Amino acid sequence: MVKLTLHWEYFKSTLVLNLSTSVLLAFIVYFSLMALPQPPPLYIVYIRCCMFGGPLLCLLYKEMSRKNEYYFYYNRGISKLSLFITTLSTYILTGYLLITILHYVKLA
Amino acid sequence: MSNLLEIDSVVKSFYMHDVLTDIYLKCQTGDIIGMLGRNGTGKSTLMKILFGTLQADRKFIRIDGEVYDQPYKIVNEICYLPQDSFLPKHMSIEKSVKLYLGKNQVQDFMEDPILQKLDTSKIAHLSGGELRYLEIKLLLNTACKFILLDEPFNGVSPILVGEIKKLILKTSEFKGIILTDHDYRNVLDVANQFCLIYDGGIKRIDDKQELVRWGYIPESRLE
Repeated sequence: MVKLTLHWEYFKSTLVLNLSTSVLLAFIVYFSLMALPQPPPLYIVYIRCCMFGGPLLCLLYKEMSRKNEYYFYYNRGISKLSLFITTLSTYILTGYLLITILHYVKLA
Repeated sequence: MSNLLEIDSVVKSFYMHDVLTDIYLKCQTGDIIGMLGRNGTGKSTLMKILFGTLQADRKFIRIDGEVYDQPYKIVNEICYLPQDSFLPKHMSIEKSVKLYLGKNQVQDFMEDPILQKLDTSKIAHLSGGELRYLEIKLLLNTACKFILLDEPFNGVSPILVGEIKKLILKTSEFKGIILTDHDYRNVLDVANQFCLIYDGGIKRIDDKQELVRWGYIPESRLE
Protein backbone atom coordinates (compact mmCIF):
# COMPACT_ATOMS: atom_id res chain seq x y z
CA MET A 1 0.00 0.00 0.00
CA VAL A 2 2.84 2.40 0.86
CA LYS A 3 4.54 1.59 -2.44
CA LEU A 4 1.32 2.35 -4.31
CA THR A 5 0.98 5.69 -2.47
CA LEU A 6 4.59 6.54 -3.31
CA HIS A 7 3.99 5.78 -7.01
CA TRP A 8 0.89 7.98 -6.83
CA GLU A 9 2.93 10.80 -5.21
CA TYR A 10 5.47 10.60 -8.03
CA PHE A 11 2.68 10.65 -10.62
CA LYS A 12 1.15 13.71 -8.95
CA SER A 13 4.52 15.49 -9.01
CA THR A 14 4.53 15.25 -12.84
CA LEU A 15 0.85 16.14 -13.37
CA VAL A 16 0.90 19.96 -13.38
CA LEU A 17 4.05 20.10 -15.47
CA ASN A 18 2.67 17.56 -17.95
CA LEU A 19 -0.69 19.28 -18.37
CA SER A 20 0.96 22.66 -18.92
CA THR A 21 3.81 21.63 -21.24
CA SER A 22 1.37 19.54 -23.25
CA VAL A 23 -0.64 22.70 -24.08
CA LEU A 24 2.39 24.19 -25.81
CA LEU A 25 3.31 20.87 -27.38
CA ALA A 26 -0.26 20.35 -28.63
CA PHE A 27 -0.31 23.72 -30.39
CA ILE A 28 3.02 23.00 -32.09
CA VAL A 29 1.85 19.55 -33.25
CA TYR A 30 -1.61 20.84 -34.24
CA PHE A 31 -0.24 23.64 -36.42
CA SER A 32 2.29 21.34 -38.02
CA LEU A 33 -0.57 18.92 -38.93
CA MET A 34 -2.76 21.67 -40.41
CA ALA A 35 -1.48 20.85 -43.90
CA LEU A 36 -3.07 17.39 -43.73
CA PRO A 37 -6.42 16.97 -45.57
CA GLN A 38 -8.17 15.97 -42.31
CA PRO A 39 -6.19 17.24 -39.33
CA PRO A 40 -7.17 15.73 -35.96
CA PRO A 41 -9.12 18.00 -33.59
CA LEU A 42 -7.02 20.07 -31.18
CA TYR A 43 -8.38 18.33 -28.07
CA ILE A 44 -7.34 14.91 -29.43
CA VAL A 45 -3.83 16.25 -30.15
CA TYR A 46 -3.72 17.66 -26.60
CA ILE A 47 -4.75 14.35 -25.03
CA ARG A 48 -2.16 12.49 -27.09
CA CYS A 49 0.51 14.99 -26.04
CA CYS A 50 -0.50 14.40 -22.38
CA MET A 51 -0.10 10.66 -23.01
CA PHE A 52 3.35 10.67 -24.59
CA GLY A 53 5.25 13.94 -25.21
CA GLY A 54 4.37 15.71 -21.96
CA PRO A 55 5.29 12.85 -19.62
CA LEU A 56 8.58 12.30 -21.44
CA LEU A 57 9.44 16.00 -21.09
CA CYS A 58 8.51 15.82 -17.37
CA LEU A 59 10.75 12.81 -16.80
CA LEU A 60 13.57 14.58 -18.64
CA TYR A 61 13.06 17.69 -16.49
CA LYS A 62 13.13 15.61 -13.30
CA GLU A 63 16.21 13.78 -14.51
CA MET A 64 17.99 17.07 -15.12
CA SER A 65 16.90 19.21 -12.17
CA ARG A 66 15.31 17.02 -9.48
CA LYS A 67 17.49 13.92 -9.77
CA ASN A 68 18.15 13.74 -6.05
CA GLU A 69 14.47 13.32 -5.23
CA TYR A 70 14.62 9.80 -6.61
CA TYR A 71 16.42 8.82 -3.39
CA PHE A 72 13.15 9.48 -1.58
CA TYR A 73 11.70 6.55 -3.52
CA TYR A 74 14.88 4.42 -3.53
CA ASN A 75 14.90 4.47 0.27
CA ARG A 76 11.48 2.82 0.21
CA GLY A 77 12.60 0.16 -2.29
CA ILE A 78 11.21 1.74 -5.47
CA SER A 79 13.39 1.97 -8.55
CA LYS A 80 13.40 4.75 -11.12
CA LEU A 81 12.30 2.30 -13.83
CA SER A 82 9.27 1.30 -11.79
CA LEU A 83 8.30 4.99 -11.36
CA PHE A 84 8.74 5.67 -15.11
CA ILE A 85 6.68 2.65 -16.15
CA THR A 86 3.77 3.28 -13.78
CA THR A 87 3.64 7.02 -14.57
CA LEU A 88 3.71 6.51 -18.35
CA SER A 89 1.17 3.67 -18.19
CA THR A 90 -1.20 5.78 -16.10
CA TYR A 91 -1.05 8.63 -18.62
CA ILE A 92 -1.48 6.30 -21.60
CA LEU A 93 -4.40 4.38 -20.07
CA THR A 94 -6.16 7.55 -18.89
CA GLY A 95 -5.63 9.14 -22.31
CA TYR A 96 -7.08 6.16 -24.20
CA LEU A 97 -10.01 6.04 -21.82
CA LEU A 98 -10.69 9.73 -22.34
CA ILE A 99 -10.43 9.44 -26.14
CA THR A 100 -12.84 6.46 -26.11
CA ILE A 101 -15.35 8.31 -23.89
CA LEU A 102 -15.15 11.43 -26.11
CA HIS A 103 -15.64 9.24 -29.21
CA TYR A 104 -18.86 7.76 -27.83
CA VAL A 105 -20.10 11.15 -26.57
CA LYS A 106 -19.58 12.52 -30.09
CA LEU A 107 -21.48 9.56 -31.62
CA ALA A 108 -24.37 10.05 -29.22
CA MET B 1 19.40 -9.13 17.01
CA SER B 2 22.66 -8.33 15.31
CA ASN B 3 22.83 -7.82 11.55
CA LEU B 4 25.86 -7.98 9.32
CA LEU B 5 26.61 -6.08 6.12
CA GLU B 6 29.65 -7.00 4.06
CA ILE B 7 30.90 -5.49 0.85
CA ASP B 8 33.82 -7.11 -0.89
CA SER B 9 35.87 -6.96 -4.10
CA VAL B 10 34.53 -3.55 -5.13
CA VAL B 11 36.19 -2.27 -8.26
CA LYS B 12 35.07 0.93 -9.96
CA SER B 13 36.70 3.03 -12.61
CA PHE B 14 35.63 6.18 -14.42
CA TYR B 15 37.09 6.84 -17.87
CA MET B 16 40.04 4.46 -17.40
CA HIS B 17 40.80 5.98 -13.99
CA ASP B 18 40.56 3.45 -11.16
CA VAL B 19 38.64 5.05 -8.28
CA LEU B 20 38.09 1.99 -6.10
CA THR B 21 40.27 -1.08 -6.26
CA ASP B 22 39.28 -4.17 -4.32
CA ILE B 23 37.49 -2.62 -1.34
CA TYR B 24 36.35 -4.67 1.64
CA LEU B 25 34.14 -3.25 4.37
CA LYS B 26 32.17 -4.88 7.16
CA CYS B 27 29.50 -3.24 9.30
CA GLN B 28 27.32 -4.76 11.99
CA THR B 29 24.64 -3.55 14.36
CA GLY B 30 26.18 -1.14 16.85
CA ASP B 31 28.94 -0.02 14.49
CA ILE B 32 29.32 3.60 13.52
CA ILE B 33 31.96 3.55 10.84
CA GLY B 34 33.49 6.92 10.03
CA MET B 35 34.76 6.85 6.46
CA LEU B 36 37.29 9.56 5.72
CA GLY B 37 39.15 10.54 2.59
CA ARG B 38 40.12 13.48 0.47
CA ASN B 39 37.83 14.93 -2.22
CA GLY B 40 37.39 12.60 -5.17
CA THR B 41 38.72 9.49 -3.45
CA GLY B 42 35.42 7.65 -3.96
CA LYS B 43 33.58 7.82 -0.62
CA SER B 44 30.22 8.76 -2.15
CA THR B 45 30.84 6.37 -5.02
CA LEU B 46 31.36 3.52 -2.56
CA MET B 47 28.17 4.44 -0.68
CA LYS B 48 26.12 4.51 -3.88
CA ILE B 49 27.55 1.15 -4.93
CA LEU B 50 26.73 -0.26 -1.51
CA PHE B 51 23.19 1.16 -1.72
CA GLY B 52 22.81 -0.32 -5.21
CA THR B 53 22.08 2.79 -7.28
CA LEU B 54 25.50 2.87 -8.94
CA GLN B 55 26.88 -0.02 -10.92
CA ALA B 56 30.41 -1.14 -10.12
CA ASP B 57 32.78 -2.97 -12.43
CA ARG B 58 32.81 -5.68 -9.78
CA LYS B 59 31.20 -5.99 -6.36
CA PHE B 60 29.88 -8.42 -3.82
CA ILE B 61 27.30 -7.27 -1.28
CA ARG B 62 25.98 -9.52 1.44
CA ILE B 63 23.47 -8.69 4.19
CA ASP B 64 22.91 -11.34 6.86
CA GLY B 65 24.23 -14.02 4.52
CA GLU B 66 22.01 -13.02 1.56
CA VAL B 67 23.76 -11.72 -1.54
CA TYR B 68 22.21 -8.65 -3.17
CA ASP B 69 22.92 -6.82 -6.40
CA GLN B 70 20.79 -3.78 -5.53
CA PRO B 71 20.12 -3.84 -1.77
CA TYR B 72 17.95 -0.71 -1.84
CA LYS B 73 15.20 -2.66 -3.61
CA ILE B 74 14.61 -4.66 -0.45
CA VAL B 75 12.59 -2.44 1.90
CA ASN B 76 14.11 -1.83 5.34
CA GLU B 77 17.51 -3.37 4.61
CA ILE B 78 19.52 -0.25 3.81
CA CYS B 79 18.89 3.50 3.59
CA TYR B 80 21.04 6.22 2.11
CA LEU B 81 21.29 9.93 2.84
CA PRO B 82 22.76 11.56 -0.28
CA GLN B 83 24.91 14.69 -0.15
CA ASP B 84 22.08 16.91 -1.36
CA SER B 85 18.55 17.07 -0.07
CA PHE B 86 16.30 14.25 -1.28
CA LEU B 87 12.86 15.07 0.14
CA PRO B 88 10.48 16.19 -2.63
CA LYS B 89 9.93 19.94 -2.34
CA HIS B 90 6.21 19.77 -3.15
CA MET B 91 5.48 17.48 -0.21
CA SER B 92 4.48 18.41 3.33
CA ILE B 93 6.63 17.35 6.29
CA GLU B 94 3.79 15.32 7.74
CA LYS B 95 3.16 13.49 4.46
CA SER B 96 6.81 12.51 4.09
CA VAL B 97 6.90 11.21 7.69
CA LYS B 98 3.69 9.27 7.10
CA LEU B 99 5.11 7.65 3.96
CA TYR B 100 8.35 6.68 5.66
CA LEU B 101 7.24 5.70 9.14
CA GLY B 102 3.51 5.11 8.95
CA LYS B 103 0.52 7.09 10.19
CA ASN B 104 0.87 5.96 13.82
CA GLN B 105 4.36 7.35 14.25
CA VAL B 106 3.75 10.86 12.92
CA GLN B 107 2.76 12.36 16.27
CA ASP B 108 5.73 10.86 18.16
CA PHE B 109 8.10 11.97 15.42
CA MET B 110 6.79 15.53 15.36
CA GLU B 111 7.07 15.90 19.16
CA ASP B 112 10.76 16.62 18.65
CA PRO B 113 11.43 20.17 20.05
CA ILE B 114 13.39 21.16 16.92
CA LEU B 115 10.60 20.12 14.58
CA GLN B 116 7.97 21.73 16.79
CA LYS B 117 9.72 25.08 16.45
CA LEU B 118 9.30 25.02 12.68
CA ASP B 119 6.81 27.62 11.49
CA THR B 120 6.05 25.82 8.25
CA SER B 121 4.58 22.51 7.18
CA LYS B 122 6.14 22.51 3.70
CA ILE B 123 9.52 20.95 2.94
CA ALA B 124 10.21 23.68 0.37
CA HIS B 125 10.13 26.33 3.12
CA LEU B 126 12.70 24.70 5.44
CA SER B 127 16.23 26.06 5.79
CA GLY B 128 19.15 23.88 4.68
CA GLY B 129 20.03 22.86 8.25
CA GLU B 130 16.43 22.11 9.26
CA LEU B 131 15.94 20.04 6.13
CA ARG B 132 19.13 18.07 6.79
CA TYR B 133 18.04 17.39 10.38
CA LEU B 134 14.59 16.24 9.22
CA GLU B 135 16.09 13.92 6.58
CA ILE B 136 18.56 12.36 9.00
CA LYS B 137 15.94 11.87 11.72
CA LEU B 138 13.56 10.37 9.18
CA LEU B 139 16.10 7.83 7.93
CA LEU B 140 17.33 6.95 11.41
CA ASN B 141 13.74 6.26 12.50
CA THR B 142 13.00 3.82 9.68
CA ALA B 143 13.23 0.10 10.34
CA CYS B 144 16.32 -0.13 8.07
CA LYS B 145 19.10 -2.33 9.41
CA PHE B 146 21.86 -0.18 7.92
CA ILE B 147 22.08 3.55 7.31
CA LEU B 148 24.55 5.27 5.00
CA LEU B 149 25.04 8.96 5.73
CA ASP B 150 26.86 11.01 3.13
CA GLU B 151 27.96 14.33 4.64
CA PRO B 152 25.30 14.54 7.36
CA PHE B 153 26.90 17.61 9.00
CA ASN B 154 27.20 19.64 5.82
CA GLY B 155 25.55 23.06 6.13
CA VAL B 156 24.20 22.36 9.61
CA SER B 157 24.53 24.78 12.55
CA PRO B 158 26.58 23.64 15.61
CA ILE B 159 23.45 23.13 17.75
CA LEU B 160 21.85 20.89 15.15
CA VAL B 161 25.15 19.06 14.65
CA GLY B 162 25.01 18.18 18.36
CA GLU B 163 21.44 16.92 18.00
CA ILE B 164 22.34 14.88 14.92
CA LYS B 165 25.25 13.28 16.77
CA LYS B 166 22.91 12.35 19.65
CA LEU B 167 20.45 10.82 17.18
CA ILE B 168 23.19 8.80 15.49
CA LEU B 169 24.54 7.50 18.81
CA LYS B 170 21.07 6.58 20.05
CA THR B 171 20.11 4.78 16.83
CA SER B 172 23.36 2.84 16.56
CA GLU B 173 22.17 0.50 19.33
CA PHE B 174 19.81 -1.04 16.79
CA LYS B 175 21.47 -0.32 13.46
CA GLY B 176 24.78 -0.28 11.66
CA ILE B 177 25.79 3.16 10.44
CA ILE B 178 28.39 4.20 7.90
CA LEU B 179 29.03 7.91 7.63
CA THR B 180 31.35 10.19 5.81
CA ASP B 181 31.94 13.91 6.19
CA HIS B 182 34.72 16.39 5.58
CA ASP B 183 34.10 17.76 9.07
CA TYR B 184 36.39 15.03 10.40
CA ARG B 185 36.22 16.28 14.01
CA ASN B 186 32.51 15.46 14.18
CA VAL B 187 33.15 12.12 12.51
CA LEU B 188 35.85 11.35 15.08
CA ASP B 189 33.44 12.33 17.88
CA VAL B 190 30.60 10.10 16.84
CA ALA B 191 32.14 7.06 15.13
CA ASN B 192 33.47 4.00 16.94
CA GLN B 193 35.47 2.69 13.97
CA PHE B 194 37.38 4.59 11.32
CA CYS B 195 38.65 3.96 7.86
CA LEU B 196 40.36 6.05 5.25
CA ILE B 197 39.94 5.73 1.52
CA TYR B 198 43.32 6.29 0.00
CA ASP B 199 44.62 5.53 -3.46
CA GLY B 200 41.61 3.36 -4.32
CA GLY B 201 41.97 1.18 -1.25
CA ILE B 202 40.52 1.29 2.23
CA LYS B 203 42.77 1.56 5.30
CA ARG B 204 41.61 0.83 8.80
CA ILE B 205 42.47 3.68 11.16
CA ASP B 206 43.18 2.77 14.80
CA ASP B 207 44.94 5.93 15.85
CA LYS B 208 44.36 9.59 14.89
CA GLN B 209 48.09 9.92 14.14
CA GLU B 210 47.55 7.60 11.18
CA LEU B 211 45.41 10.29 9.53
CA VAL B 212 48.47 12.55 9.55
CA ARG B 213 50.69 9.75 8.29
CA TRP B 214 48.36 9.09 5.34
CA GLY B 215 48.28 12.80 4.53
CA TYR B 216 44.59 13.31 5.31
CA ILE B 217 45.08 16.07 7.88
CA PRO B 218 48.11 18.23 8.66
CA GLU B 219 49.83 17.59 12.01
CA SER B 220 48.91 21.12 13.19
CA ARG B 221 45.17 20.28 12.97
CA LEU B 222 45.42 17.21 15.16
CA GLU B 223 44.33 17.95 18.72
